[in-house]
Amino acid sequence: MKKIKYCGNCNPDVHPKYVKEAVKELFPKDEPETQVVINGCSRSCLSKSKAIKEAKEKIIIMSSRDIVRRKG
Amino acid sequence: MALMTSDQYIESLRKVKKRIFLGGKQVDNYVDHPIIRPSINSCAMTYELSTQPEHEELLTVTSSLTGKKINRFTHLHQSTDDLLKKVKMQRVLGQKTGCCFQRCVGFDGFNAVDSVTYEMDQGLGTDYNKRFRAYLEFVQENDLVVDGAMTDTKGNRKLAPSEQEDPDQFVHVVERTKDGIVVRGAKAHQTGAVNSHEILAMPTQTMREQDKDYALCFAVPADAQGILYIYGRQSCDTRRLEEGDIDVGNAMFGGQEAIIVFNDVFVPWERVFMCGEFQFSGTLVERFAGYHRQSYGGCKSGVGDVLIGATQAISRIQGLDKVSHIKEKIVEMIHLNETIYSCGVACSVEGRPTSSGTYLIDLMLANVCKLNVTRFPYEISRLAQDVAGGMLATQPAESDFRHPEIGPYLNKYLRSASAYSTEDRCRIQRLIENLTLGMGAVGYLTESLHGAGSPQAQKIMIGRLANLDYKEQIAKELAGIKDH
Repeated sequence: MKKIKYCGNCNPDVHPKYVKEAVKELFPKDEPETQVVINGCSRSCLSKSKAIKEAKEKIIIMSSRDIVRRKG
Repeated sequence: MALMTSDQYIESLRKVKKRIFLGGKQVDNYVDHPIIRPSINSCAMTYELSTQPEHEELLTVTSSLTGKKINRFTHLHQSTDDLLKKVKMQRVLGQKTGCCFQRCVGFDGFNAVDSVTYEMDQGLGTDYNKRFRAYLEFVQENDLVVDGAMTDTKGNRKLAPSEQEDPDQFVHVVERTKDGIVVRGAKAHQTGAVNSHEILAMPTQTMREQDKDYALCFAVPADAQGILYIYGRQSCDTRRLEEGDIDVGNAMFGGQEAIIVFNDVFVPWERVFMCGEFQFSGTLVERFAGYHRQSYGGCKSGVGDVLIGATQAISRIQGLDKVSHIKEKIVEMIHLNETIYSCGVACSVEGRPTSSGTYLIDLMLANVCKLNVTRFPYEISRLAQDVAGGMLATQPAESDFRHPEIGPYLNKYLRSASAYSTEDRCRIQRLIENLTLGMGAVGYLTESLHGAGSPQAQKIMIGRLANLDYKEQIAKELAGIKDH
């Protein structure tokens, strides 16, 4: 089961509701032991997070802008 | 129980039977009262966002006491990351509500009381910290809102608490028994008091030995016997009693302040966290104030985001968004707003652990944060009003727009850029009015000025913490002045 982790979206480049829609389209299938980590702005809080750095599972880090751009 | 939903929170308040007076009458059903309900909605947002995946990272955390997932508003900061996430969380909440969401005072109280009770126990051999942490576990487990009650009514400001003509001008102990204490007095400007499950009272200033009965910190249920609430008026508050939702500006959310009267309220010893240990009262006040001054870097920058967005919107609706001086004014608003936020960030990342393990913000930078907050929202508001124009303060009532004869005139003459309706223009104007003159201005302006201490309080702390001797020495060294 993939897990989606958002930063807290205190300064979002893109409204989180559009990011959530895009995530559903970009990652429709379940992927075991994968976590998708989404940073909402250039401050990239989750990329600096100790928990993310030390995670054992596969991590895909993306920006919200990138997710929405890829959805098209 | 762990996390409550916003609906569960609202329903939980129905079981907390408080005595509340508003407009000269006792309020029977405060949860659904049209003047009070928007402030409950604001507090409910602290629960709502904790259940949303896109905000969960900021609104929830693992408890240092139990290892369970809790709402961050009940957490003891364990790192500078926690301090920073607090500010970010507050910014999101300011953006979502456009007003004061009221849960911060209790949160800041927990963190101050934890470290000070720990140090009291180390110094005096008391067991307050154990009691306090047991109480906080109860708060965390039940995900409660706690009103942090600091400001006494104070009477004659020239006189110490024990010198007052009326000894009740500061909350104090009137009786000690083997089971607990009885307290009497009143606390003013209590943000969110009516929306709370519990009250955590703290001393309002450094107490001396003669004032030791006023060196008091305790927790009581918000509906304890002997407590009553007197709800504060806000600018334009009776607009909430009118039909329609345009003229209030922010129909769903609002702030709230009340006076709490303690009429011989009993507090059992397990809920007493300071009683006479005046030597520690100053530290408690200083640390609570520090955390709360940090808070303003988050909440007010979030509300500032809303005002900036509204100003951008009105400039677009009125066809002025490409005009250079309008753009410049909006940039200045952003500059001031981000400066407030920067200070909140700075005092967080420069924080340090106390001996209890709870992290404390950098006090100098927290006071700088709040001193900026006493000024910048006023300038941001002035710029918003500048861009919005005079219609901000002269717009007719919603009922006039709905009138069969005059409504068409208003819709015709107040229409601006053709892509937007007259109603769009009116709604945004009312939101700007709310934030700069109306109910929202209570939180965005006057609370920015006086909340967490008035400007002079921050200046005293800044002067005290500045290490002027060292600064003088380095200047003299560079000037070639030798010490005699």
